[in-house]
Amino acid sequence: MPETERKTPEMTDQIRVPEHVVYRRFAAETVVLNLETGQYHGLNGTAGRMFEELDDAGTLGEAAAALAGDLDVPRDQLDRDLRELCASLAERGLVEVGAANGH
Amino acid sequence: MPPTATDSPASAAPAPSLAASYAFGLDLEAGFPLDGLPAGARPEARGEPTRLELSEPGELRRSGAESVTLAEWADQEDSWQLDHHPELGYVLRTDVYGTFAISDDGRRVRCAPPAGGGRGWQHCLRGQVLPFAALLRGFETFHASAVALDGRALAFAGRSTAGKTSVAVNLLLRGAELVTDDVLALEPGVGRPLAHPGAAVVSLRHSEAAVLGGRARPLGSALEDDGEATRMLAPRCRYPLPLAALYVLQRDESSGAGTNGVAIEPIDPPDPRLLLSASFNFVVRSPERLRNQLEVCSRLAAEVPLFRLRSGPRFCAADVAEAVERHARGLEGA
Repeated sequence: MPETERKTPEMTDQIRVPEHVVYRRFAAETVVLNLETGQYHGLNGTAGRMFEELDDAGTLGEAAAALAGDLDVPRDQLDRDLRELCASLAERGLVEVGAANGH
Repeated sequence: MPPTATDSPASAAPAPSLAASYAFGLDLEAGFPLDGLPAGARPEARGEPTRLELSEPGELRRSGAESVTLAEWADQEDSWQLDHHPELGYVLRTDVYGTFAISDDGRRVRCAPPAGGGRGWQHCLRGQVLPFAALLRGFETFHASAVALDGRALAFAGRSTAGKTSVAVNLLLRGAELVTDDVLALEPGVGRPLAHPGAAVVSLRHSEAAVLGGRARPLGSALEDDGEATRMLAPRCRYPLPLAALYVLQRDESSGAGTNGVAIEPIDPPDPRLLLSASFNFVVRSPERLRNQLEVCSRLAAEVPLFRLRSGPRFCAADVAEAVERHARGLEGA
């Protein structure tokens, strides 16, 4: 069940890109398509990179760790930005957030 | 009982024979003569063909609660309604061209021409119905014209009056072959998307025909005329070709191209909105189709050079065609 409420996830939360969401990277942005709603969403370069990492990682913290070496921002800001992005994506049904214990 | 209402005398024959053709990526088998589509299957025809049949109008009139209207629109010449019916598939009803039913998998098209035949009903078949079937069979369709030059396809997108057909026609007169007019079917494949030939017809506005005069003769004979444009047969390439470039036409008062000049500049980075909005079909929203559309647009952006082609206020299709030919021949690796 997709998360629809605006709730900022924790770094320990599990993140999953559901099967009804597909995305492709273009030169300057990533286009994310929600197949259930038929809506396209555009992510800029940094957000697109974060989204890809969220798709690969198990938890928000793992995604942040993988991004830390690539993005030239302080770690606390990266964590904050990633949590905000994740909340925004979850609101649109583009990621699903689950607590660390899987519930 | 085979219907006899068509615009071709040959179709009045008592026993319908199968006519084979190929367009928009579809291998076609028709139970009636096809207008504006080259006869003969392509040598490497693959998979199951799309079958075209004539139907009685009543057979396609099933409606009721289970039929869902997806779109209604009208233009100067006709009014259109597109429904989806659980048994018939997509049903396109028009006042002028009759009714068409396209099965959900795009493998069967039933055509009920208007009473008396109605000249030119196959215009709707070529221009709307077959592209729709192609989409259902996994091809992605764009509002674009295209020509073949040196074994590569060059496509032209843009608004309805941007001059896509005029530029394509002028390139034909300079020796290119027609790939398609107005609807381009692309197949993702590997590497550059493949541009599949459409119908062997170009719709030449009377104003453009007047400009061309006798120079239009190589295009071939006139097939139909709707009062504003003459649909002319044109030599069409037989095979799909890799798409080498996509030009987005734009008439621009401040193009820097001069009063009647042409400016061609890369679209870099490619704008996904530009590609997604160039679709020919905004009706089919199934997950499979949407996924395919994004994939093809992504492939286009990654593999095919995109250019904005700005022309000055005194648009001259012949000048634009000359500029495109020169530009295309200079494309590296294209």
